[in-house]
Amino acid sequence: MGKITETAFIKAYDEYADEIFRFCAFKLFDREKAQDVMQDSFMRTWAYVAAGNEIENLRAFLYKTARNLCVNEMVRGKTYSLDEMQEVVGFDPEDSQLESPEDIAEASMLMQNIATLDDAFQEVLTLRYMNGLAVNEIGEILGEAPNTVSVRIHRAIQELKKRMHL
Amino acid sequence: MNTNEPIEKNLTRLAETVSLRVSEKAEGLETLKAYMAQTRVPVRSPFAWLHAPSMRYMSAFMLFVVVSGTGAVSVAEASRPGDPLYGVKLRVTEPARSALIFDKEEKTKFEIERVDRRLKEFSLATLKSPDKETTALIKESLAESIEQVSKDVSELSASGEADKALNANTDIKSVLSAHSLVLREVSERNPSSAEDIASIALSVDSGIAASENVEQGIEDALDSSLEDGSAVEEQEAETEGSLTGVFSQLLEEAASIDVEDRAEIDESLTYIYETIAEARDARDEGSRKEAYLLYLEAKEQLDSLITLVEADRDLGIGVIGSDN
Repeated sequence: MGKITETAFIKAYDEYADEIFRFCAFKLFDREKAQDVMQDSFMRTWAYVAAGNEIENLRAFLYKTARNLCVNEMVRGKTYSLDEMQEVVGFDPEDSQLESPEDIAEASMLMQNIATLDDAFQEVLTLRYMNGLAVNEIGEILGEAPNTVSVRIHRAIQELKKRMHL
Repeated sequence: MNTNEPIEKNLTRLAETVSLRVSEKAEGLETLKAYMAQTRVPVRSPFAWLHAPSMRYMSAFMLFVVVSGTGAVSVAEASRPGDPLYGVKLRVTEPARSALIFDKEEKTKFEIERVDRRLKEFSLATLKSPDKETTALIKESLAESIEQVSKDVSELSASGEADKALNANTDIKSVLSAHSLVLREVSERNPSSAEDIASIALSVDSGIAASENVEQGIEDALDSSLEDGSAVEEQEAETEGSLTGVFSQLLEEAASIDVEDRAEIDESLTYIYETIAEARDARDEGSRKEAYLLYLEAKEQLDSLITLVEADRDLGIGVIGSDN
């Protein structure tokens, strides 16, 4: 990618803001904090670009920045209620695409179970299934080999199924 | 959750529920654009050391200034005319910062920001009758920055980057023109500082004349820079970003703007909207040069407007609505 223009960066916000927010939401389990960290990630990345630095893979850079920022905000060992999960899900009658409040409740329960997993498992599940990244892309963000990522995804799914009694 | 579906599918569906709302995303974008419009003076990113551990671009002198005098550098940067470190700011810290900028366009923008800062500082200082030494310091820094910008504009134009040259030339002209109006008002209200103000105004007027002198030549050379259309897009984004920034600032300051000034500001904004609308029409019709020049004109008007609004606020003088 190299040098990034303002136009390209604004386009990147349009493309990636949602997935970076989601990535942060599944680390912090706090909607407002996730939004703040997402926004901060874009602003810090822009400050880096504006200082004359080049970025080869903007998407990966944004994820790495968000990941570093989340580390400071994460509360380890906390358990989350269904109400807290529902807040993260962020049901809005005006623009929700869900069919019913039951969908919200089910989504919240799934999130609650994800929240009990190790950070490493949560991370790969978010990146792979919720944000649709390929294994090699996840590897670049996490600094891991693709095979390591594949194994971790498989183990994360097994662990999640176990916790959900599936 | 449908327990008959594989869990992977349920995870993917979860993505649909954990998303930004339309309003949240729009608000975030506006905040980002306003931030981008304000951070055109390059700063060292807090993450820069992670990706550029080598300090090879920093001379020993600058390293000394930054490492051993870190506290002094920060205080110098915040200093105002009359403060003990003001001279350090003008002669050391700002030139050192400029030396760390390697991109010509960014360096030019930084120097234009320096001109704007100098003139704001001078106008504020006239309220307290600046001493001769401070005026001389400001005049020296101003002359250096204006000369540097003029040189950069010539170099950008000569290297085939007429769009960037024109952008920079328009920016410096709009900054100087707005401050020329401010200085006129300030002079009328502070007759005791008239001589000092006249001295600075001379540098300003000279800078305006120099930028007007080269303007036509750069416009004539614009066609080749606009061939691929990206320059028009960039200028459009810059102008739209500036509009958002100006709006945010006007909203914040709305309570302190009086009724007469609001009417003047509305009139200015109407003209700016019309210019942007004309630019979009020209862009859609494929008239790249016309679109570029119109976006540039709108940006120039926005920069002037905000300079005058700030001067009105900071100096308590009625600059908005002043004629040329």
